[in-house]
Amino acid sequence: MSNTAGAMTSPWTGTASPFGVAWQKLMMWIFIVTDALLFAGLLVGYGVVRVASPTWPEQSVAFNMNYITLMTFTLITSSATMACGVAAAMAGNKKHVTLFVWLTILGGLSFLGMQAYEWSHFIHEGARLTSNPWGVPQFSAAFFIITGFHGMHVTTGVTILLVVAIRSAMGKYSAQGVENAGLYWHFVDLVWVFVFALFYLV
Amino acid sequence: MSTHAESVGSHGYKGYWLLWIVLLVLTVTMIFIGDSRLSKAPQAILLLLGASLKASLIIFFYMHLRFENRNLILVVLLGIFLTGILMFVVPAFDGTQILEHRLYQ
Repeated sequence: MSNTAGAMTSPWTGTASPFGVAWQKLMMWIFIVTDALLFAGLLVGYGVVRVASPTWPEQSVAFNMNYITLMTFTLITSSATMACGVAAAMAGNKKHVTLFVWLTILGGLSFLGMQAYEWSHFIHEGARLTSNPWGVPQFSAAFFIITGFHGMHVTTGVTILLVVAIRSAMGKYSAQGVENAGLYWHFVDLVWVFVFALFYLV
Repeated sequence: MSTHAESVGSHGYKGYWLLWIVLLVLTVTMIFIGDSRLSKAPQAILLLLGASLKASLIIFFYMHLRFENRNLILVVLLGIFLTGILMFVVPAFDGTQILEHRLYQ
């Protein structure tokens, strides 16, 4: 009997929790780290292409930097509202959870709308995946691939948050579900920090 | 000893909005660095440092990693460290070769 009890508390039985979190949250963290590797690969690829290219267009010529700054502010603000939503969920304040999650969705949709406008403007100016008016084909390729991947992540984040908001309105939310959705949303913001710095500012 | 939920839920919202202001200030600072007359290499290093600082603040305060179990913190930081190596060390070889190629052309 004592042997059975000993086996049940062994870390190899799966009953111990070395990370002290639910498996859903642990999986979300592992997913975030692996997804960070994906974006690191994209940004490294962009860096190598850029260093290898003899010339590179000035970003201020191709983009409206005030507009990109506004996009960045929108995403940072949505991260703040999401953090408040998670704190409200942990405190059991259902009304605030619904409010902050909807505000985060609004921020995400605003960002996506601005990105759609930026893409359409860029395409209207003649930029394509393999060519652009600024003479360096890799410039527009890097833009479409990196911001496109990020935009897909934002779209996924908004979809997850919509599910959380609807469940919250129905009184079915769990604090852990809100927290996991929040982790993903903050990761989307975190990736943009590097995209903004490396693609738009350097 | 408080639980994770208690730690996250008991601080109100003030801290998150203070951090929001810090992040906005850092963003504006980075824009000024991007607009400055610095050459590309120091500019890129400063911007990467700024981005890393912003990312750390987001991970520890918005994602509440500071309240997590030490094992989880170590696993996440190790993953991010390896990601950093991929970002900074791997392209350095190609970058050096390209630079040498240009210098001797």
